[in-house]
Amino acid sequence: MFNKPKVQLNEYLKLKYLLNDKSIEKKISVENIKAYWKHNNSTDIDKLLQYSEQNKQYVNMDKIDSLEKKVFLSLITIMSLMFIIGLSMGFSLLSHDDTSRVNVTSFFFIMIIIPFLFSTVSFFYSIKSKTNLSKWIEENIFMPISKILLNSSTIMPNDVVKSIVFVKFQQGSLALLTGTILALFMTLLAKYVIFGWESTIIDTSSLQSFINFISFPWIFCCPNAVPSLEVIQDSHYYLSSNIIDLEALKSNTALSDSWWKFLGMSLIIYGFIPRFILLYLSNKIYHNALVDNILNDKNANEILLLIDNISHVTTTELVNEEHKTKEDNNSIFETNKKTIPHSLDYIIGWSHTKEILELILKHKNITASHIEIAGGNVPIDKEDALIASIEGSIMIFVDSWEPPQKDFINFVSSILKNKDNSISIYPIGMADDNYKPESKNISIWKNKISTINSSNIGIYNV
Amino acid sequence: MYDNYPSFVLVGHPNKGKSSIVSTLAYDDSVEVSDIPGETKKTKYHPLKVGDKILYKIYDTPGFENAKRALSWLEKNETTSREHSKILKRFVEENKKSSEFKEEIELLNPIVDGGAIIYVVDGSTPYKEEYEAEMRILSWSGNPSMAIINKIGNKDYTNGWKNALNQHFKIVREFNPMNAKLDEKLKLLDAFSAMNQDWESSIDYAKEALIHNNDKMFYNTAKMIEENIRKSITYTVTSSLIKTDITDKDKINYEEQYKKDLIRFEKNNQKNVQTIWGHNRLDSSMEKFKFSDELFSGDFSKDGLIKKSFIIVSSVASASLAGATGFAFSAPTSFLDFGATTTLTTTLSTVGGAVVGFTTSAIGYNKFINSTTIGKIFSKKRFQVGPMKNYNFIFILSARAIQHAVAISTRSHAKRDNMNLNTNENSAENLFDDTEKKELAKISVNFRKDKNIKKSTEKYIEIIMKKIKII
Ligand SMILES: Nc1nc2c(ncn2[C@@H]2O[C@H](COP(=O)(O)OP(=O)(O)OP(=O)(O)O)[C@@H](O)[C@H]2O)c(=O)[nH]1
Ligand SMILES: [Mg+2]
Repeated sequence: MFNKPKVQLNEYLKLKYLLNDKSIEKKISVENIKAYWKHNNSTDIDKLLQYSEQNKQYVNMDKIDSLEKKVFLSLITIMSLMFIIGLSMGFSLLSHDDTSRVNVTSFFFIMIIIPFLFSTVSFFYSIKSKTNLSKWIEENIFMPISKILLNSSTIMPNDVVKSIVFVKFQQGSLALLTGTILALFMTLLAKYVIFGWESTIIDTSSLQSFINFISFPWIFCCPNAVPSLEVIQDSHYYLSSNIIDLEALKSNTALSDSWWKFLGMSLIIYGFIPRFILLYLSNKIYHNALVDNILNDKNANEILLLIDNISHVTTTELVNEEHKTKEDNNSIFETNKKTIPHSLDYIIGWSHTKEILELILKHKNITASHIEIAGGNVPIDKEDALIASIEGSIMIFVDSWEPPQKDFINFVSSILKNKDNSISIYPIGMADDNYKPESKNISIWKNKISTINSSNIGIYNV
Repeated sequence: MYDNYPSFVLVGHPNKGKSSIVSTLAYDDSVEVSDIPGETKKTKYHPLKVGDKILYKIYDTPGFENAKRALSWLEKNETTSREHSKILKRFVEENKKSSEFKEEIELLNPIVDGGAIIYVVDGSTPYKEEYEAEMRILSWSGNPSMAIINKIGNKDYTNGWKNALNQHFKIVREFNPMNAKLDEKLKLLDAFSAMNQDWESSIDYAKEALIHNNDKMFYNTAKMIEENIRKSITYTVTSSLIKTDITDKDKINYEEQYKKDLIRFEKNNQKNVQTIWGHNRLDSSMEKFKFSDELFSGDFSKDGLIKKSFIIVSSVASASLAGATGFAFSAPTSFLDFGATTTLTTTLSTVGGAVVGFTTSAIGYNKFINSTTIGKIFSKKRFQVGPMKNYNFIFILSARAIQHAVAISTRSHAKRDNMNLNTNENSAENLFDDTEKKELAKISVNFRKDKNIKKSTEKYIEIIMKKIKII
């Protein structure tokens, strides 16, 4: 889920092609959006790769295939070339002359020290930023090489080409080393090899301390891969001396044993291991170069923005109005509190059926000269007729839990147009609650009635 | 493909939860919800969008106020029943200016434009005939329609409502905006799309969008928490260079600063999480850090591990901590001495209880004041409070953040009350299993040592995600 994105050359080329071909319409379909949604935490690279996967039909694959083929072919060519070079160099160095005497020192310097230094330097060159020297190297060595290898393509910018070439370099030198090692073992397998050394400036003891220094990494685990002072002394002048007792040498196995083991160990420790590390690092640099190159692409950023905008989900439109603070209606008008008048002219059940109203009245033990219903399903003309004829003191039963609506307010307002009329509202609760209303609902009614602003209407305080 | 998006218009009596339903479906806590009927005065819509493509719109409308008279207008002007929708349109046009039908015009406007009708009733109050007029007006539009029963109170009149609603609506659903989880919202959307087959693809897409949005909010929450925890764990308050020893008063001041800052970080983080979830207007508070004295004031160097203070890390995490920090917990003497710092001891008893959040003696900050000598020649010192070395810190902070995030992510946008969270001292203990404890302990070390940040961050986010996404 959290893996660092790694871009393959093929993916990179496809994406680059898509990003740079202006003729391709940047379209993101619903299906694409759904795919983007799958991973909340997908990185920009993930998104871009997905984009290129979704639009791959627009990519000219021939062009990319041929470019890829070129990179691959150059890899094969370099590898096999270097391998052959390594092999032949190994053979030639191991066969000092036809008596199969080997010059350890020159083998060591040519096959181990020089390549080691070379790859280390080139590695630092690749990570170090621009200096005059590196510019010169780039222009005169890398670019010509890459032109030959990759036929300078417009899609691939210099730093990517450079990192590709660099990877090839590391792969090549690994191939070279493999060749050398193979040569060493083949020689050892097929021939009796005499190892010897000679030098004008190095004497036996300094060579020994040098060898000890070199073989430090394995001196404890395989001591017989470290030539002893005797061995070094014995093999001095073997190269030039003509009076070698071959039979005596052959019986002294320690002599050649420790030399070839030493050379083999050196090849592994100073050849293979650093090369593998460098190959790994250069691969990393190469992949990073691909990623960086994509992320720095102006068109890629445009696409990313487009993807983000187009796949972004909003559930509402944010209005920037301040949440209004609730004004307290209670304080505006004081609602009259009514008690039940001694004589009632009218009792009206608002939005009740006649039967229910009678039930309520029986329960409350209240009665009046006229008992009517209004609201609810009562036809409008009947309601209007009631308004026209009604007078005196009126009590209206309402269901407290149903909020008062405009039709009710209009109804009581019309009645109150006759100044002699007075209304008290009797909010009742549900039958389940023994008609006892909740105080919360009462205050809703109170507030609403207070907006009528008349002293002739009040609420019966239960 | 989705050019013809549907509109859903929530209509009904006043105070039946129309706005609440809109609020929760739109993840918007700015919708006017109130127990005063007639709160919504103007029709407003909330679009669900992917990019700038609208998938549907939900309309919040004022409740009916004068339904019977509106219906009577319609009936008076009735010609044939085939013309009903035209007459409804005429009603809306001719009464635009009338104050008598102000609310009816507002709510019918989106309906005559073709919006689907979602009729909302309260299932905790009984059905009454007065509702008939509303339903009949709505049916004049001929638009697709359904009904939602929202139970606001405790009583149950759902069955009565179902009988009545079934006469007018093919689809009747129950939905509670106060505790509807994502799943129930999606089911409601299914019911919406059942009104008209043409809307299916649009609604399906909308559902995926909501799921994605939900996931994304969880991920962003975890990321936000991670940032804050990392900041808090590594946080230090550093004095300027001074020549003499620090006074007790200064020490206390630095400690206070440190504590205040940590509280501020937590508060900010909570605010950010609320913003992620669209709770922009929410006022939330969380109980103070309630560490018993022994939890942190104990001297780690003597019997720290046995004390209650190390219950969280001791049992499972200490082994991995020992590995991660390079010293063994079983040799606690090294605990305070590592690094190039000298530990000073202060008495904290003089500090007043003016701290909000962390209680004063809480974290035993005296253990975290370090004085570093900057160069012998000048023999100047710099005092530093923090970073927090107590490995329980990450557990406690994380548990609090998780508790808050869960409360926020499950909170309905229809709610308008404040949120107060009570914390439980032991919640950190039980919240994480053994492997998680080990991992958190390691992450804590990594954060403080600025090591493996990327990996630790990812791991931490993963753990937090697991804890907050409890659907
Ligand atoms: N407990 C509980 N309360 C609810 C529920 N639905 C709505 N409410 C409460 O009921 C009251 C009215 O809710 P609103 O959403 O404003 O109702 P409305 O239909 O939009 O009201 P108007 O805009 O006035 O027509 C508010 O106080 C809500 O908090 C519910 O499912 N449960
Ligand atoms: Mg409303």
